[in-house]
Amino acid sequence: MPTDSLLAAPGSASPLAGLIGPIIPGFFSVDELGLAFLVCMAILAALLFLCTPATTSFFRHLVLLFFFFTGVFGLLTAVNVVTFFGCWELCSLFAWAIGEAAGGSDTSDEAVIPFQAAGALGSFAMFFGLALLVVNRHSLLLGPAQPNHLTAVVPLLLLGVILKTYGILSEEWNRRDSHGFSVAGATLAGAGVLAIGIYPFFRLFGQVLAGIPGWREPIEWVAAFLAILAALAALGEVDFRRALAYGAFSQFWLLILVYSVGSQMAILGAMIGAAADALAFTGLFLAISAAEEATAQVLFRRVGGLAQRLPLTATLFVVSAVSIVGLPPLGSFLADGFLSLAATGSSWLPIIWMIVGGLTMAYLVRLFAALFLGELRGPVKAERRWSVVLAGGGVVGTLALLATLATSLLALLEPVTRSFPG
Amino acid sequence: MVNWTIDVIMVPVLATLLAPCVGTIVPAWRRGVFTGGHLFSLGLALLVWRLAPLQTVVDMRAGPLNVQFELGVTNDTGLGLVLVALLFLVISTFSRGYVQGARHGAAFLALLLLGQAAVTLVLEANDLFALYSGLLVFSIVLTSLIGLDFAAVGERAALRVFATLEVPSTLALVGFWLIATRAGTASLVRLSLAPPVWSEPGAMISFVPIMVALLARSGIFPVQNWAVVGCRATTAPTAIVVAGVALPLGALVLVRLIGVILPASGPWLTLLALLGASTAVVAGASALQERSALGWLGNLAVGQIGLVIVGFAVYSSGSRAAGQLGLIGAILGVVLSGMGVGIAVRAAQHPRVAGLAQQPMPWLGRVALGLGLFALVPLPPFPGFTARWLILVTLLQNPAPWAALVAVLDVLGTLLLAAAVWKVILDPAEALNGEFAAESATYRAPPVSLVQSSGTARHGAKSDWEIPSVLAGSLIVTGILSITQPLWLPLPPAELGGWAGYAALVLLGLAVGGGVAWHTTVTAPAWLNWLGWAISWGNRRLRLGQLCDPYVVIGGSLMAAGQLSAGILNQTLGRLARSR
Repeated sequence: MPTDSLLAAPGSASPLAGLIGPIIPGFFSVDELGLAFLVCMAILAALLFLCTPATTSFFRHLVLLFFFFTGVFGLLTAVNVVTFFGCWELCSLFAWAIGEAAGGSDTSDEAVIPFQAAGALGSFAMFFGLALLVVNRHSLLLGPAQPNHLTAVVPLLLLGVILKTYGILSEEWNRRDSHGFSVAGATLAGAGVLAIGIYPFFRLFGQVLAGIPGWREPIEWVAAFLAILAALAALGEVDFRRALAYGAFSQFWLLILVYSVGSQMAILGAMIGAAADALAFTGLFLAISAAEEATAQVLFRRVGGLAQRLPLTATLFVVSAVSIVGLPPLGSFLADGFLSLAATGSSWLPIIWMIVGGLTMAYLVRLFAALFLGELRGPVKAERRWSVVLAGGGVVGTLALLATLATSLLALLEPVTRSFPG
Repeated sequence: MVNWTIDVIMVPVLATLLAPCVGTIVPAWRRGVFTGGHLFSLGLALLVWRLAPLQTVVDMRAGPLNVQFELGVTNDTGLGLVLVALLFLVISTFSRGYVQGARHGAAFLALLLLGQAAVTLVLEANDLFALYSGLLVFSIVLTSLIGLDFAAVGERAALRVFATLEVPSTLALVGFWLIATRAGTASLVRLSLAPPVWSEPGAMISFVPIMVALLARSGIFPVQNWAVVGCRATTAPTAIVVAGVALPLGALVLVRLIGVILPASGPWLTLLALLGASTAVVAGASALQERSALGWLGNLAVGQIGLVIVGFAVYSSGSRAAGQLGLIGAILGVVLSGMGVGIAVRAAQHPRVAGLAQQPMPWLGRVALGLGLFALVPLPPFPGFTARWLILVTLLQNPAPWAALVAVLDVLGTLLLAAAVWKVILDPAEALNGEFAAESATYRAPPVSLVQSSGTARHGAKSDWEIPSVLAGSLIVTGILSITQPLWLPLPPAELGGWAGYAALVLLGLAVGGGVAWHTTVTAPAWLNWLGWAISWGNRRLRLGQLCDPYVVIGGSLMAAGQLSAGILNQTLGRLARSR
């Protein structure tokens, strides 16, 4: 098997490598890690923009997505603590706005200044963590930290990532009166988690804190606990949007866990896995949003039999779900390859991987059976075939092509993994 | 360049994709595309069998990446491909009456073609990941076939089938990855030549989930209920796919991995033999108390596969031949019985076991049911009889105490399964004690909701029930193949007491079978009814069925833990996120 030859051949260079370089020196610059994420974000952005005509408010979504992805571009290229935090906040703000737009809320909970306790606490934690980092490095540039006076930085940064990620995921399950088709879930669980949760973690704990001893083990414990807890919650939840959001949260923590192992294989596995999961969850959320639009329901007990009326949506759901599981040749298969290499030297990682994998399959099966099989419960609108074909074709095609795309990503990421201290 | 090993997989897939396109242009031709797809696949399988051995490596090389999937066809695999193509052709043709006029009829036939492609991939797979991919796709097909009736019971059964098969398989996939990483290969051939992977330190982490996943796929006790529930909840064609294809395929994969990533000797094989024999006993007992005809078929299939596994687990040349024979016999018996039961259910207009054999039905249905039931008993000269005989001989020659225990369980399981078959043959319709009349009065839909839920609305209920000539041909061929088994798969005569003894047994079997066939109105012996009642009573009192069901125990515990976890997250982070 192939795992021995999965690594990029020495000397092979990515065709994308020419894009690496400064944009505004000292503030924005494209490096390998940022470029790999930019490629994924470009694909996700194209998919989501293509889906906007099917939403209830086309222009609102279009503008919000535009600003969200502008913020993402800034975040992925930020090399300065100030621009990094500013773009992170901007992304979060527009992610919040996309969530609110899906709620169709012109209602009482809309305020001049957006406030969500989880997100706000996350912002404060990230702000203080980055401020302490600046004090530690005596520089505003993001770079390897010194191993002194960093006790509070790790928990603060981690808390920031946890709260903000959970905060944007929770925006997806806002109360909605209209139940129209929305790209909110797909944006928040795919591009949102990738930009606001995974990328900051990879950047801060990879580039900045990788050389600092002592943080890996506690984070591994936290990540393992939260990955299992969230997967179990996805299994026991009664609201299908919330169940899938918990599923995304669980996969997010599994990737954090793998990344925290710190080996080259683990880092590559986490990065490829992050891209594949973002695409797969985009597909899954598009599918359940179509289901919500068709039924105007969000509870398991009030939906069923949708494969009769929404066969293409059901197909999109199945393909995205099997991608998360790791069916070849879809995206996660390669991530699993790296993960297995990372897990070989560990006694506990295979067990956590198995538990989370099993629970993931269990909640995806439950979602599929409850949504698409069984009796129709109540009136169901007809499927908007062209929108689903377009979105589904994009997601499925990209997932299938990820194996090819992964070659360039690997060539791009391989130097990143070597450059991380520790 | 033509690549036959891939083409034989792709042809059914292409036919699936082609059918809707053709159907849109000329609706009347759509069904022809499905039949043509099966026929073409059969022709291709025959060609591949003739050209065997063939080997293909599908290389996912893209730049520095090198992920390989190996497909191969040996002479045995080629024969398997032909049998699978024939089996799916028969099932698809048999399904015609069920899907005519049904709204989801085309989807049903398309799923059968996809299922054939998946099974072909499993048979051709020469590496762990191709094997997993084929099995996963087949599980999705199976779940969709069961859930296609869009009834509540179908949803629950589909969930159970998929969860039982695929949740352990996801864990096993991690095990596959770990094995592939340690051994440096996922190829089954290279793994079988490499040092045993199960003896390495820490191998238990990979071994246990793989074992559980394979036991679940083969329907081995205590993970056998998915097959019965799946059969019970669905139509006869789907029940045939579950009982006659999915279970034997699981057993085949389990057997194939023995000696590759599973130990070929030692205590675990003893455990496997014990579990196989126990499965036969449990399935026989369950079949005796089963009231649904298709559930009864599922129980019988589970029991047969349990006995097949005993043959392979005992691991001598004779018992392996017994396992192979038993597997072929089980497939033949279950498929024939399934078709017969389907026709009987349709004729009786009720889904119960009782009185099925006495229903007025076409002679071909009666032949299919009779052949299938006698093959399942098993009476000589059907392959099942020879298989049991060989297993018993091997077990009795083994001095180990466990062999005696397995032999006792084996005989007990065989007797219980045979009793369950006789009960169906002998049980008259009056055994329903008035339920039949009550049900008939209110009867609206047979367990064929595929037709009734949508077909009735559009085309009206179908009163006729025609069996196509292809089915007749395949029945006759199957019957001849079964009866002439000693000719095409000769066995050592000494182990069967010589050819004269064997011929006497065949004559005896034919006499018994013929006698029973002529006296189908005989009342069931009282002890058969008492036995079923006693098992049912014991099960109700002790709740053994639920206590021994991992889906109920583990699934229920996981759901409870899931609700608790959701509560914790909703009340902590969720509360924080809701604060505005």
